[in-house]
Parts: sequence; C-alpha cells; structure tokens
Amino acid sequence: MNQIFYIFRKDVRRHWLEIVVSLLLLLYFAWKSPILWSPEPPFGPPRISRLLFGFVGVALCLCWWFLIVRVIQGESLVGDRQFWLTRPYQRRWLLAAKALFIISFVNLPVLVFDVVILPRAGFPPWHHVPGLLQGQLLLTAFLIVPIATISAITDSLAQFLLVLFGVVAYIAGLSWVVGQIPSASSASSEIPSTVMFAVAGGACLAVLVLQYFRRDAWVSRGVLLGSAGVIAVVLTAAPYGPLVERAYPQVPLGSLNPAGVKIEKNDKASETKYPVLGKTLNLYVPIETYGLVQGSLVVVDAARLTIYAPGGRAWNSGWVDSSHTLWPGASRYNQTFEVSSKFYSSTAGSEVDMRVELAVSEYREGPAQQITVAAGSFRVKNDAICSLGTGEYSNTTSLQCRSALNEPAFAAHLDPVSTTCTLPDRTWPSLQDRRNSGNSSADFGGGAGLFPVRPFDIDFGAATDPSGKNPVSIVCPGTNFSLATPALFSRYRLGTSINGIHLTDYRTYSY
Amino acid sequence: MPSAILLEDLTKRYRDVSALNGLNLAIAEGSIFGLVGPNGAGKTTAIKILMNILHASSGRAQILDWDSRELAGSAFCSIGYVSENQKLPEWMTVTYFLAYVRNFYPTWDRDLERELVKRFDLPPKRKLKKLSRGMRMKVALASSLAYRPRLLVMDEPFSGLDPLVRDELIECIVQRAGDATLLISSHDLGEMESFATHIGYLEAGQLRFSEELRSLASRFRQVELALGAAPSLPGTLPESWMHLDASSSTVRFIESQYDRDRTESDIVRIFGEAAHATYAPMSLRSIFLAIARDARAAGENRA
Repeated sequence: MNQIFYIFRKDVRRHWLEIVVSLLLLLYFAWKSPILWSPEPPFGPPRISRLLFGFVGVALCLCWWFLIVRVIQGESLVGDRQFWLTRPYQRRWLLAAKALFIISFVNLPVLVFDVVILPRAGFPPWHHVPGLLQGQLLLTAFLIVPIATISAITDSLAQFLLVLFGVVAYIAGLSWVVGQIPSASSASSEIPSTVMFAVAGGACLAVLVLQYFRRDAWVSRGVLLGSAGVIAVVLTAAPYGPLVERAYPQVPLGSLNPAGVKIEKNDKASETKYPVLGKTLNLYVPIETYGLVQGSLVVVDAARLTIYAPGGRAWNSGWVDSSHTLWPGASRYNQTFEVSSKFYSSTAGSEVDMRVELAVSEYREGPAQQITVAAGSFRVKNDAICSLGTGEYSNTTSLQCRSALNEPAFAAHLDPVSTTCTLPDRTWPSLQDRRNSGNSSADFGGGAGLFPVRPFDIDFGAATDPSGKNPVSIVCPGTNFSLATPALFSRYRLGTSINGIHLTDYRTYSY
Repeated sequence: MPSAILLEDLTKRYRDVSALNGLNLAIAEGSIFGLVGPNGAGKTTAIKILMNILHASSGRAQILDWDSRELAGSAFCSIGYVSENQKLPEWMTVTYFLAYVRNFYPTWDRDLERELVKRFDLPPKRKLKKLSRGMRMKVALASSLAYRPRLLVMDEPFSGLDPLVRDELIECIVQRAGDATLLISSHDLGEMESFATHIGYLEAGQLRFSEELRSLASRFRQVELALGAAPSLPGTLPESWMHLDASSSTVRFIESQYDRDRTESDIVRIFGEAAHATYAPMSLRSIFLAIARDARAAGENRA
C-alpha cells in the first residue's frame, strides 16, 4: 500500500513543472471564465481576450494529455529494459499510484474549478453534485482513459503521437465511410453508437488491465485493433434504415395524437434556371404540419425523400438529419435534401411524384411558469439565470441566459401584443404569438468539465413593421412570458406524398 | 546442494528464429556462476526469462522458490538484477534514485548503501543521465547489493567498461556478495576466470557444458609432443583429444579429459615414446576457443 505513496511522490517530483503549468493554465481559465456566459462582444480587444481564452482551453487539454502520457510512460509497460520490471513493484499499487496522480492533477483540479465557477455564475454547487460527478465520469471516459490506454501500449511520446495519429485517421476514415451510407443519421445511430462506445470503452479498460497485470503489449494492441475492427463492422453494416423505422414506428391510421403533415406545392418556384453543378444538388421541400395538440411541440429528427419518376425509376435519400421544431397551429419549414444530380437531370423535364417521411419526437409541455422580465438578472426555472441583452449584430433585445452544467429543456411562449416595450403600432401583423424552445431533443447533457456554465438564449425575435423592416424589441423589463419544461411524449413517423410536380420547382426556398 | 536456479528444456522462439533450444541448467546456491558464450548465444534471453521479463515458448525456469512466470512484486526483494542495457530513470540523482528504490526493500541496509556509494565514488547530486556508463553500472549495482539479495543476476555487467572500473566492480561483487548466489553472463572470458566458481558455456541456445571452474581448468591441457620422426596418425584418436596438429616431428593437441597417467598411456599407444612432452595448463579463454572451434567443426561436418 505504501508503494502507492512512494510512486506518487516520485511522479510529483518528476512532473512538478507540468503540474504547475497545468494549474496556472487552469487558474487563468477560471479567472476568465465569466467570458463563458457573457454576451459575445464586438470585434476588438474583448474578442482577442476570448480567443486567448479558447487557446488556453486547448493548451490546458494538451497539457493534461502530456501529463497523462508522461506519468504512465514513467513506468513504461512496453519493452523489456525498464529498471522497475525487476524491482518489488506490486502491479496493482502501480496502477493505483498512476490513477491517484491523474485524479489529483486532472480530475480534482477540474472538480475544484467547477465548484469555484458555479457560484461565480450564481449556482450553488451542492445543488449539482450528481451533475458534477457525471462531469468527472465524462472527463475520465473521454479524455483520460483513451489517452491512458494509448500511453500504456507505447514507449515514448513519439510512439504515442504516431498511434494517436493512426486513431485520428481511423476515426476520420470511418466517419467518411459511415457518412456515405444512406440513413446513417443521428436518428438511426443510437444503437450502433451505444455498441461503439461499449466496445471502445471495454477495449480501453481491458488493455489497461492487461498491460498493468500481464504487460503483453502485442496482445493489448491486438485487443485494440480487434475492437477497431468490430466497431468498423458494426458502423458500416448496421441496418440504419430499419433502425429508424424501429425507433420511429409508423403511426397507425386513426391514431389520435399525431400531427399531420403535407408537402406544399412550391408556388414561389423561381423561373431562374439553376445550373446543375457537382454530383449532388439541394432540393428544398416545403413541409406544413397541422393537428398538433396544444401544449406540445414536435422536433423533426430525420427526414427521407423518395422520388418516383416515369418509367418506374425511383430515388431515395435515405434518412437525413433534421432539427426543425414544429408548434401547434400551422407550422411550416423547408426540408433540405441532397439529390443526385444525375437523377435530377434525368427527370428535370418530366413530372414526378414525391414522398416525404419525417421521423419526429413529440414533446408535451409540463406546467408553465409565468415569468416577468426584470431589469437586471433574474432566475427562471430554478436552474437558469437570464438577463436582457442585445445581439452582436442587432439592436433588438433577447434573453441571454445561463444554466449550470447542462442547457435546460424549455418551451417558452410570449404574446408580443402584451409586451411592455414601446411599439409604434400594436396591430402590426408581425405581432403574433412567439415561441422558442431549447435542448428538447437532447436528453444527454454535456456535463461539467471545463464548461460548467452553459449559455443559451431565449429568443422571441423582434417585431417588424408591415414591410418587414425596422425591427423593434418585444422583450423589455416587465414583459411577461411563460416557460415550461417539455418531456418526450412519443416518437413516430409521418409520411405524405405529392404527385405531378417538377423537381426544378424545388431548387429554391418556398418560405 | 540445492539449486538457486533451475532451467528445464527451456525454449524461446522469435518467429522463425530459436534463441533457446531446450536449455537445461542448474546453478547451485552460493556459487558464482559465469554464463559465457558468443554474442547471440541466448544468454540475455535466458536471463530475461528467468527474471520474468520475457516468457519462454516452452520449458520451465525456477528461480529461488519461484516459478519464473510467477516472479513479481515482493519476490524481487530477494533477487537483484543488473543489466548493461537496463533503462534507469535518468532524471533522478544518484541519491534520489537510491532513496527511491530503498522504499521497496524491507531489508535495505543503509550502512551498506553508504559504503557502496563511498567505495564506488558515486557523485550523490549528479543525475543518472550525466553519469558515464561505468558509473551508471555502479549505481545499478549499489542499488542491487544494498538490500543483500539471495541471488544477484547480472547480464553483461562489465561490457564496455574500462579495466579499472571492471576490476573495482568485480572486487566489490565478490566481497559483498556474501552467501548470495551470483549469475553473471559475459562474452568476455578473461574476467570470469578471476572470480567465477562455476562456468557454463552457451552456444546457439544450448548449453555445451556447465561445471566447476577448478575442474574445468584441471581437465584441459595443451599437449605438445616432440617425436623422433614424423608421426603416422591412426584412423581413430581418443575422443578427448581436440585440434590435433601434426607437423614433421611435432604433435600438438588439446586434451579435454586430462589425467596424466591415462593421457601418457594414450600417447605411448598411438605415437610410441615421445622424446619430450609438455602438458601446459590452459587459460579459460583458450579452453573456450578450443571448444567453440570444435563445436563449429562438428556443425560443419554435420552439414
């Protein structure tokens, strides 16, 4: 047991300079952290300060990486010439000493940083203990364990960088390959991603255990290569299309809750003939939803376009990512699809049929909280603090908020007619109900780490005169709005078709 | 006498290359065993398997009370290991290195440590990376003697050292080893002769022989015969004769099983009475050269 202390003390003595540098960088980061939740400044010195802050953040991460690599390679687990191999080291204490070092000089400083920063942003840290622990878990899983694993199978910094380069190349290559697979969107990748993280995490832990207790670098490298192969097979062979269809079942006819959806004919189709350049081109399909029940909102997670051309030819986009939020009442947006130029050109002169399917998540708002905008900072939903601010490029106001650890899910409503702002005319058509939502589709928050305070906006937009110009703020001190927490209600697929259209009409926005 | 080290049919293969081919060796407790052989003979591989740095392809190695595959942790409190190519933590000073490793040994003798530092004239505040090769070897040795191990294994410890440092080290090892068993590998035969009690010769991954140095020295003789006339050589010679060279009236050979009476009677039987015969003792180096040449010739004949 004492060995942990001896090895730890030796490592501290060996790496004191790196430790001091990392702590100084963290100190600077903590000092400048209010930048995280302060409004984006215009160009000039404040922007440079923000850039420096970002640079220090990157340098800090690199410093930690370097520290982890050096401390693990201090008792290298590769090769047969290290003096410690024939000394009375207990392997489990060696592993424990390295873990203690990393906890002391990476995890603990980050935890202290979070605990210091949260109160500075107005959040008591003891309200967020589970979130802070989750942040430590994420830091360990995504920063420490992978770096420790590569360090455990390499003998020097140069070897480490070489392997790291290989890992980056593997990830980039695999991402590119998966990107070419139809339907490999985020909506379909939940199961493959879970498998990927489980295999990668399991392989990393297995390698660390193998190296510390058996010190067999070739077997460990084999385990990593094997897991890379398994991940590649899983990600490239996953049935993405059926996975979306399984996660988002087709709504049975006559079902009560779901919204309806239809494709609008693009009546604003430009006469302009857009040239066909490249292998693909964008089509913008105007979608209108209806029938959403009050108190709900729908997030379109993915969309699929099928085009049926004369002669029995068909083209399918596969499921592509989307992130549009739809509200009760008629709600419209343009869904973008990348279409093969070859197919487009072959059908440009003829009428085609089009079918669009949407994989959607429907959320139901919980009880709403009525909030009055204060002149200074004010608290909303217990875990966020907001204040009025102006955007970088506009003079109208919006609510600039911050929350602890994760951006909260919210659905906000504001009736612009009742605003306390001075409006030239309260009958402007632009003064319709305003709604804004945030993070409703993200159940998995970022956690703590170097960014324990999450900035976000509640933006209701601005009112404009009937010509659509001269924007005027609609959020002022004293203005009331309501805020609710949306909860996932169900996931399902909606589909709609339109017949006898020309694809050329869909190369420009409809709204 | 019980064995401190026992190797049984030890084999190590690296893909197509065999570094050890069924090596069998027993080293008695308390002996100073010199493991010699040419470069690439398998000495370092055998030692690394013993120290559980490498794993054997087959066979078994026992070191003190442990199977070498289980050698770890506190077992190393009884075993010292010094190697010419060992990576020491070069950022440490001599004092810090000794203070650091001291923590791991309950039997560490501070007085002995101080004595070794003084005797080796080690610069306490200098970092290991700034030390000469000889000095680093002395530090490694001091850190392996100070806890009075039962067994000290040294892999080519004197390689590349100047004669003065080498003699210093040898003297200290012999003095300080006490009852410990020493296993020292080397390709330099001369240095072994001065202090080893036993010797083993390894070649191409196999042990050619292993015996007490005294008996080895006593059974080898360089024989020179002055005959009256040119000798006629019979078809078969005693198996113990090596490298027979006959020219005009002189015959030279090496007797590998020297026994004055028997050797003389063999000579009389084959050549008749010699006018003059000398039986010169051989240096260890000469003995090994003879054995090596003999083994090579046998190999070529087999081929």
